[in-house]
Amino acid sequence: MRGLLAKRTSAGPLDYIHQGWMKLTLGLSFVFLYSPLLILVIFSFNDSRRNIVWRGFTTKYYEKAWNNDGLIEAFANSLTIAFLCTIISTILGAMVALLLWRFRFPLKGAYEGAMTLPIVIPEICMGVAMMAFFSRVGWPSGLVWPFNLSAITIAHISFCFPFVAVIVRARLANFNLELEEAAKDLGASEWQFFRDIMIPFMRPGLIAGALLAFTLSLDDFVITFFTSGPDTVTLPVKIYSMVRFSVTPEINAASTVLIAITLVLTTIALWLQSRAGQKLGH
Amino acid sequence: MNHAKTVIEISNVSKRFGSVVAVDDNSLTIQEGEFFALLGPSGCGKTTLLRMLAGLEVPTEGKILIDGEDMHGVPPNHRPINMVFQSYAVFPHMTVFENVGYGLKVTGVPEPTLREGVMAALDQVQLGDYQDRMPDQLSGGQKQRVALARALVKKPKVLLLDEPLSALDAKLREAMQLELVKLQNTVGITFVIVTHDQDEALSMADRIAVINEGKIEQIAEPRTIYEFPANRFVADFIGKMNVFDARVKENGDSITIEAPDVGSFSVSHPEDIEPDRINAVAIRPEKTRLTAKRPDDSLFSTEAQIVNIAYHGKETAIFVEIGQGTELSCTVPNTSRSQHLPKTGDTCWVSWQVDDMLLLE
Repeated sequence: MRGLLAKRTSAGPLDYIHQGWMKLTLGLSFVFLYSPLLILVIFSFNDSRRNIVWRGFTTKYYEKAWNNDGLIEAFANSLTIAFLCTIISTILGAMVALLLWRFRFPLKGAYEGAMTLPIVIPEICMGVAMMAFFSRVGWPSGLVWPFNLSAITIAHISFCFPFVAVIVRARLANFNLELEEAAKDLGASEWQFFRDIMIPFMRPGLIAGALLAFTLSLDDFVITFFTSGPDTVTLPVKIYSMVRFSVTPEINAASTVLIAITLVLTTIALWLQSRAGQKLGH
Repeated sequence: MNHAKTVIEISNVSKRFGSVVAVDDNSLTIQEGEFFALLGPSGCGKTTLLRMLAGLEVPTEGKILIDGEDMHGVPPNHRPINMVFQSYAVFPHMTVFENVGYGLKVTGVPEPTLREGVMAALDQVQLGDYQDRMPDQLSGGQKQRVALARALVKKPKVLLLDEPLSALDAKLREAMQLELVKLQNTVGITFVIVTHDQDEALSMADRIAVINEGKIEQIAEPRTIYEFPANRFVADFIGKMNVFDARVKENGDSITIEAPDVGSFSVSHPEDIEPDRINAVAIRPEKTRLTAKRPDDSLFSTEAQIVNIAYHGKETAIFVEIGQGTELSCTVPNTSRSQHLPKTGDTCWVSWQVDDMLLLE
């Protein structure tokens, strides 16, 4: 037992993680990346109007944010958009992934490239393009809720579904085609095969893709900013407009909630993907 | 054998992939209850033939009848046939029970009947205690049993097996060979197995079709395939064989065959081959004998020098040289621990019965 422990603690030549300079670099990177977020979260509990000096612990700004109707409305809008965008992007993305995996057709490469374009295209371009598009076609504004969110939702779907498609496509690459033949051989129809074999196989990819689409939609600012009207404000846009007056702990509180949601969902998405990877590894 | 009924009838079936001919105008009938093997080197078209039976490939030409019905246009899920796939294709997200029951579930078999059928099938493959396991908790051999049970539970007219034992280690493979034969006897279903392993085909099958480059070379019982191969390909592919070029010297009731590298032989007139077409003679290594002294005249014999010895445990392969540079392989069974083995460089006599020789075209 002692020998085993000794072996484990003595660093091998490729165990960079045990070397001092590596630990230091790693530590500094973490500080660089996460200290702003940490300060944001800490100061959301700061008992001070001005967000500079620590004046003691309070949760009153969470309360205040909760009672801020504009903020809550923006949050509700964000959640609605994210929810609709997730459902439609997941279905659309899964269908695109299936199409690209299953069929061969002319200009498939071009189609695949065009489909993934929203991932690489700068968001500001997407935003401007969306704004130009909606004003050109005369997209109706000022409709009743939730139809007033349709422009933003459509814009979100257009950049979210490629992420779903890429994730599901990667999962499908590992599909054993004999599973399909076996299902058909055992008497399954096309639809039964799809429901019983294909969807369960795609499920980890679908869930990971859906969660990614949800977080992307929830915290998108640039594209939303260009497509939102005066009466359709989302949480990131609302926070931005609040910051222009003054940075109060109320904004910190709202941002912290957004971070928490994003963090939880991303963790679930990563966990599901790694679990699916492990299963394939067996 | 009293196999009365034909269950599979393949007539003039061809399959082309673009310009590649995978299966070339083959006809074949398989009887009910038969254990039939399609044997050939990899890429010979045997798997394509099997997949056409399953409905996973459509023949370019020709007709396939299963149980008297034309299978043209019948999709795999409507054929009275089930298949065990090479990769086993066990559904990874279903338990053993769900896997085996899947074929019954999709056709709407009610739950109690389904449970009964699944448990009976699992017992048949000795996996009765594994019903709640997930496939990633099973070994390769167990996954294969699941695949077998999943196909058997459908009570098909014919069970197709695509290289079922190729992924198993040697010991397990031998055990599974015996088990498959036993299983087939119990269930009485026609088995059609595709294999490139001649031992597998010889030991398990009632009849074998040897396939080469898309064409069936010979269909016969294992012993006939081994002892009376129809042509040079079959003779060479099945087991080991010493083949020598030869030509017919004299015609008549008894013909004389001259093999320049070995000698000349007087043989009786072969039944199924035109004497003029004979261009080779062959002898199996295990049908030769090595002796220190010259044997009597009832055997064909020639003097030889030992050039190489390969010890295999149960037998020893001895390579001898006869005449000018003609090599011949002989197999000597190691029947006793105190058996004397010759050494490289020794001279001896190699002999065999002329009747054991094969005449090939």
